[in-house]
Amino acid sequence: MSVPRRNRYDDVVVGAGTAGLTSALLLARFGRSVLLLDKAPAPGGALRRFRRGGAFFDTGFHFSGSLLPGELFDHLLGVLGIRDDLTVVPYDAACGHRFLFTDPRAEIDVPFGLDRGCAHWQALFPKEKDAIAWYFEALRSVAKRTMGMDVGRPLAPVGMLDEDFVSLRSVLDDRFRDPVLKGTISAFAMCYGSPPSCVSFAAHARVAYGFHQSGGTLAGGGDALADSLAKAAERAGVEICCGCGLASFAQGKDKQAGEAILSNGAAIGFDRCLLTIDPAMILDLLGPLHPSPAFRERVGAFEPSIGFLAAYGVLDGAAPGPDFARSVYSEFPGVDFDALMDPATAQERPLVVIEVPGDPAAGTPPSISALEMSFAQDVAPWAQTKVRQRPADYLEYKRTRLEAIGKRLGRLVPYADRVRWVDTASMLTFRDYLNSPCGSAYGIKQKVGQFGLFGRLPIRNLYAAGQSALLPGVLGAMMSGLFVVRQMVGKEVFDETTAGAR
Amino acid sequence: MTREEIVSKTNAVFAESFEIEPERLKPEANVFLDLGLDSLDTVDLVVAIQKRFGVQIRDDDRVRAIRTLGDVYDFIETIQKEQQG
Repeated sequence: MSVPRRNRYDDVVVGAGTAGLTSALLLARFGRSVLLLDKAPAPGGALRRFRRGGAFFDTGFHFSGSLLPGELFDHLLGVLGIRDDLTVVPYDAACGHRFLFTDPRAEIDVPFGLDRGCAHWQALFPKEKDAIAWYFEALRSVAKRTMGMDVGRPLAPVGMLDEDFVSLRSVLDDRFRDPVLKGTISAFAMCYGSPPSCVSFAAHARVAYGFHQSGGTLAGGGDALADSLAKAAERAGVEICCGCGLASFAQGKDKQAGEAILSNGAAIGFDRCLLTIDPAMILDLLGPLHPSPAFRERVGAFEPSIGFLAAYGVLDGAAPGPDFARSVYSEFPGVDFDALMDPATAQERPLVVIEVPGDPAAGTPPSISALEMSFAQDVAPWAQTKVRQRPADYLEYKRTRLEAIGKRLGRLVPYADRVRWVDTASMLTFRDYLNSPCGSAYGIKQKVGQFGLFGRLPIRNLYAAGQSALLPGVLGAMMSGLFVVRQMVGKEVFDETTAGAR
Repeated sequence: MTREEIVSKTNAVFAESFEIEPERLKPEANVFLDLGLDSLDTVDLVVAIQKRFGVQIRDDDRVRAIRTLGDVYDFIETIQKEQQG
């Protein structure tokens, strides 16, 4: 456990995941003294990989969209000054995402580039050509009107859009007829974690837009991004203190929090404290500071997004063919995502398979992560248990699900019989390793008419950011970090300073 | 919904969700200067009103124009008519 060197900082940032690292780095660049805290032994949060059977497996960062030059991810790396540290490994532009629907049966590819994607889907669903054209134009239009997404333009202050107030479900039912097409459009729900009747069309469009633009991963996976962010933060003067969390706030005056009390008992003074942790944990920390009942009700109504049961395997024998790790494969046992994403459904769950090539020179075997959709309800019987103290029936639950995943894998990939499973992780595993309240993959569920916790909070010297704030996923977390710092340092100063990097 | 019902339900939001003493809830009371809310409470107020009245409130210039409790009653009356009609 490291210990803070000082007893007062301009800014304390809690949580050293994507949003925490991004914002700590930027705050330090604006000349502020910054302490970045995390309970985990190293910074990076869900960006961190782990090693099993000689291969590296990603925890939370498997792939991204928008990562070609001039697109959003690339642009954000430029603003943060870490673009040159990272190497993008693009997926196959002709079929970066491959969807297999089993009932009714259909195979649908997502080629990259919105024009190409649109033309491909129009050829598959010729009767709905116009609606598909409308859809791709709507994705562009939402991205263009969303603050910070229209790369290269100044950050215009844009409020919420009309599309923020309609559900994806209502758009699907108003505009489209073929259930397979509706399922195809809904499939990127796997990348934000909320069902169509819940999520706004705008939130769907913001995520789907990026995954239609391009796709791929980073050489070295999430570790590479975590390492480059952490190094840049340290170069900028951020003090990173790991193995040490925030336990509570001392009472303050005038609707402000007092000192930050750390888990080691140290009391740290600050001007402002930025919380990049789950809203449920923010609510717990703020409780003793008496926020309004309205605030407690609003945050208390947030629900977790979907999570995953992850199975990790290495491939024995000869290297797989040239197509390996060029596409992400998803299998959907139905086309209605409201039914598929209902915890009570009797259906099989959607399954996403991510391949990682490995490195023969370094003796790292090719590997796969198979992620099956899961819900907090699945693991509720063992919610009170901790890592390495789980009972036998929990281990049996994991074994049964792993066996089912193994069988399904054979329908998706040709090498299924060569996979040697080396580990599985349930939502409880993610919960306990990532210090999140229930191990959901995308923070809170995105709901129409819901306002996430973002920016300055009703306890005046506290701020919030993270993937639950504006947009889920690594891009959403980075953007929330950028925007919260813009609010904290003042937008004029921020825009002037970052203009050169864009 | 009658004006009286709107007034009593709105006052209940301020009393229960922001812990403001009922005797301070007068139509001419300035929500920010007299009742002590500030711009950071606006989102919580909007969410609480949405829930209490079953209406949907968009990011709207009319929300930003609200000053007094009477303005809140008027605003709710207007959007209720819009969303029922």
